[in-house]
Amino acid sequence: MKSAITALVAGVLACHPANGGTVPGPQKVSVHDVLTRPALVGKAVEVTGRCLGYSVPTVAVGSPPVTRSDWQLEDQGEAVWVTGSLPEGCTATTPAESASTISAVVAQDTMPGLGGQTPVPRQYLVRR
Amino acid sequence: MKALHRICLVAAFLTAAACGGGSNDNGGGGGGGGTREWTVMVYMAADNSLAVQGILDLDEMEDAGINDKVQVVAQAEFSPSVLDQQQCTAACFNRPNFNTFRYAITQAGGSARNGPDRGTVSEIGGGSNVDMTNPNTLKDFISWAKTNYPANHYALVLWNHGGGYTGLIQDETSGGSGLMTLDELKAGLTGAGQIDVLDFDMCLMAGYETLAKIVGLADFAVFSEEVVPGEGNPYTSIIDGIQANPTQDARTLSGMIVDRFNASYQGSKASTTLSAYDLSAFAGFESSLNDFAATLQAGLPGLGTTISQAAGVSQKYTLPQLTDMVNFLDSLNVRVAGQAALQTKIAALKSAVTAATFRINNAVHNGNGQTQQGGVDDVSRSNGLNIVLPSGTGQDVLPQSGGSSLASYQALMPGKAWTSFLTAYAGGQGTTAMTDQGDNRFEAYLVWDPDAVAAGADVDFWVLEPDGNIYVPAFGSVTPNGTMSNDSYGDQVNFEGYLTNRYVAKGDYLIFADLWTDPANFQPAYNLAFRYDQTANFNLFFAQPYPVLSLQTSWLNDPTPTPAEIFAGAYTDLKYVGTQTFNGPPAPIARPGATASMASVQATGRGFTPAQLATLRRLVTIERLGGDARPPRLAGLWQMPFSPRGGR
Repeated sequence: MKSAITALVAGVLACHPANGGTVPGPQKVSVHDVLTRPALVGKAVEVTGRCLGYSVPTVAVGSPPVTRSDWQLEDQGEAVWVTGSLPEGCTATTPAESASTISAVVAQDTMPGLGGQTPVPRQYLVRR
Repeated sequence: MKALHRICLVAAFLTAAACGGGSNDNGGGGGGGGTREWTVMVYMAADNSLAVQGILDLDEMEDAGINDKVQVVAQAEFSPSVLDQQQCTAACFNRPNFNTFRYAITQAGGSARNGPDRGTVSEIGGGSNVDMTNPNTLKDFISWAKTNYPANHYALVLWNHGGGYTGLIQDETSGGSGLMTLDELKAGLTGAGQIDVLDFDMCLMAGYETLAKIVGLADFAVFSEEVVPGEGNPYTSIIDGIQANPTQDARTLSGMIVDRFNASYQGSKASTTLSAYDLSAFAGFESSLNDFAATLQAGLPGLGTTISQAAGVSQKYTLPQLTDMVNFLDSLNVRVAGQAALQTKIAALKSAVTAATFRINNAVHNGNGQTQQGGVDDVSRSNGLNIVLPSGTGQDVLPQSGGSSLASYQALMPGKAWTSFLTAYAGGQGTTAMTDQGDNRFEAYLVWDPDAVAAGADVDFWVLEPDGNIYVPAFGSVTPNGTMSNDSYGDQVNFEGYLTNRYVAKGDYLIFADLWTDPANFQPAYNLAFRYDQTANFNLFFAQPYPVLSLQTSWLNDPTPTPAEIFAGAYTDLKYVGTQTFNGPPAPIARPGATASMASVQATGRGFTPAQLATLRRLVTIERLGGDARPPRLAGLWQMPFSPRGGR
């Protein structure tokens, strides 16, 4: 937040026209994009999907990445883990009835390999 | 099944060996209460999203090794569907199936494979997947553990999801999506006998409501106000700590869990809270809480807005209705100056809830990861115990229905003074008309000449919200309708402002620019940067020539400043910027004339009064003289010597 505003106000009083800021907007991406494009890590994104809460059904792969209350955002049968506040209309145990769009930053961690499996990197979302 | 189970228990009693196992290096169940000091009973309900973490936590327990004075046992099950997502069968955790199993760690050497591989394993009732949310399942496990591994002391760890007053423990296969309620937890513990330490390895359980349900059933509680990291307890460290001093009492052990949990997350991306309480002091605490609740209720409805504001600026958690109790008391105390009776109750309750005889330990840690609003989940104002207290704004309300509703709370906590207060308080909420901005929220920052910062000048952003109160970043970080930036003076930057919540009260939001100090007479020009969509670029409100602030005609020198004079531009150090109106979708920010602006202020009924200006005058005057009117987080920054104005 601070860096974005700092960038905004640098010289803002010199000769800035209205709408003259330079803060880039986030990319609109799908759940599938987040899961399959490691290049998105660190990027601000907007993702649309249905909040499933944290467990039932469990569609996202692996453990919740940050806290035990991380939740899933589902689209087209795939789900990504999201850490942060739940969207309106969704509770930890009650999925949302409809899709919503959230703003988030893509992050990555490594899923532990069980039973001798190889650890696997995966992407998840940090809700802003 | 039940007949077989009874036979096993009888056999265990007679042979002092575990049913289906338990023969071990330390004599299994034969340790007896006289020789084994602690049995740690882990109720691991991992038939849900936390399956992998559960398996890894079993491994951590094994890594602690064994000790003839300390026995670790678990009842566990893991989600087939979650493990299938990782292309895993039960073999991935060293089991032939997904049945619920009981496990006693009896072999040294540490974990060699994922899952139980350092002790004896038995299935329940001949092999089934039981409902871990059923209180009888919990009671049976405790009974099994105590029968087969008797000790002088028992620690019960409840491992899974936690949702504060909405419940705990989820079982995907056998119990569906619902949680065990706190009343069911109480039922599961009732009759289970002595529990010295009850450790909630789960989110959000450090609440008054939890304590109220387990008092008399456990001696000490360990739990977290905020959500917990997926890894949960550092089991190796905690069990090492018990084994190193097996004769430690329950109080010491409870405090030790908090310390080792906190130490394990230093440097972590996740923020953590953990606290421990002595339930023998609960009655005294609740008596103070009852007095406080009755006093609050007697002050309604007049006190409602003040309570709402105090709750809104207090430490909150991922479940926003949960409010840190001590932080709320502090926030309320500063808002009820002069109300001696209420302040006496506040002081008494704060003393009770923080007494060393009640709160044994409390540790908080701000992580270095990013969460909501792009910043860390700041839990630094957590004092160990939360309580259900919604501010009534945004999502921080008690919903109309469901497990977190007022009706559910009333059913959970009947006859309690806090329930009575909450009913009166929350029942009076909802009269504020709200509007939903979706994800495109109004955001505004006052910005000024960057060179003014180096010159020592500082500008404050003020917003008069529809509730009639003025909010300033220097005096707080949260309003009922938004989140303030840091104070610009503290950060030495040339902007400050705020981001509104998704749900905001309908009405007018009036923005002002105040020049707090200008020692070099820099006379900074300023503007307002704003947007309605966090993906869009900012707009600037004023075109050139930009307005300027100076100390030439200060409102502080007017003994009776009025809103009308401010709107009329009578002061050079306090200027009206513009008005953002929400009546449905936000109307474009505008700068209505003095008459319309005065009408807007008067429409609040209470807003922008001489009393408010007097308060702000007092605070600002203290600051200008180098005092300490701002919150403690900024204390120190206000120790600067008073600098006389200089010429430019």
